[in-house]
Amino acid sequence: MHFKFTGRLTLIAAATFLTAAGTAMAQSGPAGITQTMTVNQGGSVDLSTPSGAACTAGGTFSAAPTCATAGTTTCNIVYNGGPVMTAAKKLRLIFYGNSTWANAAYPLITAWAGGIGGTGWANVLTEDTGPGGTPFKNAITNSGISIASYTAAAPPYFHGTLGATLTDANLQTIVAGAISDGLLPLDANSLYMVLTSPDVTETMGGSAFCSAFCGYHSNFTIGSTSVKYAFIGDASTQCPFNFGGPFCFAQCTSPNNNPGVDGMISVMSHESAETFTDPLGNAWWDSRAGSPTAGNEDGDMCNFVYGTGLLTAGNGSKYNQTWGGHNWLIQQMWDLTAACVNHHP
Amino acid sequence: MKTRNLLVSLTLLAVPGYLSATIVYNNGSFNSVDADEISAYQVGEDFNLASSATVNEITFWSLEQASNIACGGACSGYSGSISWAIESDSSGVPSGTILDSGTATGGAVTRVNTGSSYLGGTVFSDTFSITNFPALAGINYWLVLHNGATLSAPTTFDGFYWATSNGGSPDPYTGQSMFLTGTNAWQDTGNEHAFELLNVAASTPEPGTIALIGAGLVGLAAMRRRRS
Repeated sequence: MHFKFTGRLTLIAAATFLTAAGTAMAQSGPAGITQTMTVNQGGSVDLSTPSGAACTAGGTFSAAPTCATAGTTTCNIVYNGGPVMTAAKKLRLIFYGNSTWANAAYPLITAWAGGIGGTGWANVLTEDTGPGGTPFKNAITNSGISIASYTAAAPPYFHGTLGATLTDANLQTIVAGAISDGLLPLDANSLYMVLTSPDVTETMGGSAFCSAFCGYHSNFTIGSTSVKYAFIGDASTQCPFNFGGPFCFAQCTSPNNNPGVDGMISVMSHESAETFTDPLGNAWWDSRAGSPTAGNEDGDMCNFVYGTGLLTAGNGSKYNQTWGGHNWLIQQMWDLTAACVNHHP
Repeated sequence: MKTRNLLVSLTLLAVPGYLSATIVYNNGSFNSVDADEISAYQVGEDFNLASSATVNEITFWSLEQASNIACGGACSGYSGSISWAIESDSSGVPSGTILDSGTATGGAVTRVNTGSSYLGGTVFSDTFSITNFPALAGINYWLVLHNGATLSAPTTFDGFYWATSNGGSPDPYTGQSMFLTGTNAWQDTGNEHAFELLNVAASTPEPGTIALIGAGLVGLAAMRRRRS
């Protein structure tokens, strides 16, 4: 088995997140797969220990972006010449965990995924053109097959049972298994999102979900096809909102009365934007040495930043986007000339 | 007895109006690669005829999953109705201007299990008649489909998809998908979708053919008279 490491894996940190020069990470993968991955976040991760305390109150909104000066030369992402997912894109949703959670999560996540394409939020990404200025198409659909993969062998049956303690290699096995089992197509223009229920833990390169990250995206290859995937977990029991500690969602009462899944949707927005604009780790990110935002992709620039002027839903929660028949509180996106924004133009 | 059966058969042949189907546009059969959901969504696929023709029948290929998380376990699949529309083009997406539309319900849709399966589902061909649509050569149109009685009314996810194909010719655009809950716009799926447009005509035999059949009938009647 041959493993080649050429990509770049990015995390959405659960707390303060310092970057360092790229650190190659060797990792075994499922049979028949060539994995390409490099971690650019280095070893300087400053985290608090998650308390596991129950979500009790409030939320943190409108946190200042890492770089508050809009679109200056000191704070920005730059193009590094690599491929960008400029064509129409599909989100392939893989629900991993218990079926009760999955059945509650599915309608919300599908509504988010169904409506995100063409929105003002997605339109921000059109600034991030591909090689030679190839236009970025903001068409995003999830109308392809989505599957469930339960830890128990409940229908639809999934390739193997990996249990509730996952590694990054397991994620690749899940994605590759869904493809090899014929449940999902092999498609270079798709982002395969592995979404886990609250009881599932995940580790990647010595870091763990809810202590170091809320989600991440990466890639590997099957044959000659680049497979982009992301991990996003429901943090509602492992690191619920707690002041001063790591958190993966912003408020205890959320727009859709499901804080864990609403939090996932914010992270999914972040990871999907980064995957589309920097799928292999060599396109849109701040590669400038000494920059205050060095190492950041577009999502990182507005990590857990929701903006001002938030709207209030009927249940008292805050939101900043509406589509697919739902309100959402999702992270803002980095505009190359205007910093963190909700939409473009 | 044999002669009587033959006479009946020949008489049936002589009745003007047996059906002949001509494919006027072929976007390809299913390619077992992908599929796009058409219950919570409506999906449009473009077509462009080389020669003007009247379309009065549509065949498309669907993919049905027996189970999916979206269905909460078992999927209901085909709703019993396919709503459809032919729309004009607006810069690569369906314009919203409906040129022809309808709903095929129950027995109006002929469903044939192809015996093929992929992506955890089974492929069916679905055929239904439409009111005559005079498609003009060289014009981009969109065929829009939805698994439900009303084109724009969302239904729950029920494991019913429009199978993809390798596309037709000419075929300037890939298929578009619109999520039906909330206010949404068409999104490029990057896929072509499997369908054929047909013209089914009642053919009338040529006068010479009628004369030949008539002569045969007369001959057979004479034979029968001699035997009796």
